[in-house]
Amino acid sequence: MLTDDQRTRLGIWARDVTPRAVAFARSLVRTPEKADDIVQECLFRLLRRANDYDLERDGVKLLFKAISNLAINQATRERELVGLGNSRDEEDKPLDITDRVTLRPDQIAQQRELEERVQAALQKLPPMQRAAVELRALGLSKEDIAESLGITPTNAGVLVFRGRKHLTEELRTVLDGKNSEEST
Amino acid sequence: MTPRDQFPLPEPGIDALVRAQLDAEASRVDPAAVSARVFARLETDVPSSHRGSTRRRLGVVAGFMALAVALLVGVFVLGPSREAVATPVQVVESARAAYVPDADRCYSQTLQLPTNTPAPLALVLDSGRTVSLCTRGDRFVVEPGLGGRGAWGSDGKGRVWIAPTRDAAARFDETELPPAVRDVVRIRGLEIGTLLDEVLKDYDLAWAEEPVREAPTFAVVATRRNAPIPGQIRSADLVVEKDTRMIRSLVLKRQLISGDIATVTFTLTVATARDARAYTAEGHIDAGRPVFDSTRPILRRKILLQNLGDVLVNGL
Repeated sequence: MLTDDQRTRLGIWARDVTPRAVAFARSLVRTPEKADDIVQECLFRLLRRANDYDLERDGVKLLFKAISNLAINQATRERELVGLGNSRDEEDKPLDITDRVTLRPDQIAQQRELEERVQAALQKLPPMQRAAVELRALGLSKEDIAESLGITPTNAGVLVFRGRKHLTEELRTVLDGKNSEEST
Repeated sequence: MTPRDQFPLPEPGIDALVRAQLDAEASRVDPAAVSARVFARLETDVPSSHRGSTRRRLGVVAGFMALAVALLVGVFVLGPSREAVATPVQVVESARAAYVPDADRCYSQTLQLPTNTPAPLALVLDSGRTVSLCTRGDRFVVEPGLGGRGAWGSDGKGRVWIAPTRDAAARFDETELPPAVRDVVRIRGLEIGTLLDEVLKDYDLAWAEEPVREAPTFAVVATRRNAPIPGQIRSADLVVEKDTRMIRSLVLKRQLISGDIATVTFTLTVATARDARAYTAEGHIDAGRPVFDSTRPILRRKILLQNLGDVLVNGL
């Protein structure tokens, strides 16, 4: 049972990590609803054993490990399935509550296009490579990535290296465009 | 450890692109709903070790309690089923944990001033009238505005604005507000996170109604431990949704300088995204129309006098 103080602190922790945890899960699993269920289940399991861990210190690593396990297994099972509809159709997209009022419409369109290109490039990676690259982008160390994916740090490094290499090839024009912007 | 430390910034290049894409997806997630469901599930979860020992205890006493059990079943059949749930404190804490400061929420709001309030003041402050209040963190907008016209609100930068018509608006730093208007802002405004922090810290919490399993909400009454000073809330009645832990309704009783009580009732109507301009003066006047601030005090005062009379400007 959580004390009142634990409940407040862990509530804040859960609220802070949930968005990126869901984003990570959604990138690994075909349907957003399944990804959301996975994150909820993993959060529940961790919080249920909150007295066994220091979640505020290690929770990100533990949560993403749990999500990786469930999501990559799920993605492997779903790989051969052909959906009847594209769950990422425009009308199915969740409500975007990002405040875009400071961007011009053309900037919003550019931003959306960039997001879709990066997402498409990530989807081409095998699940483990994708997970490794994303965990690296979220700031996890090689050791934490290894622990999250149940592999050695050396293998984690190899996955990140290969994933980055493939993404660089796919997104060459984007990266070149950004480099020229920064140099002017 | 601060939240930012949990996700250090990536290296430039590919990692930054991937991070931007993940953060864009993350911005579309409502953590309150996820968190609320998880904590609600935790509250009803019984660890397996306890379940085992509970079963053993029930087995031992079953022989003695058979008649009592039959009576209890009768009570459940005849009356609403009682719910073994968290305490009022835990319900309010989970509502606080579930609260997302930057989400848009709208409420219908009714302010009831004491019956001895001078009629002009009660009229301008719309005592008894139901208005719409939308909030995003410490930003809010009230429609219709003071005196039943236009809109007014706070843009979250320590500024209050009033737009009685679409022709022009007036904007004040909070320190510039006439005292009566400052009181109105405090009474009408609502920042749920701050309110719940205050309630958890300074109030005694109890069930307003005993929880019932079939009911979709919890009802909690919060009473300030020490006597309130003018402007403070004396008591708050909160209705909290069970599945999302959102505050469905609030009744706040605020202490006035006179010693009387102003009652403000908020009822959640809708929680959908609004344009950020809705919380600014510019969002409620026609394009190109002026917003008068401290740099144009005479015109600013003129707007208030023309539309609100001297009640709020000069007080009574």
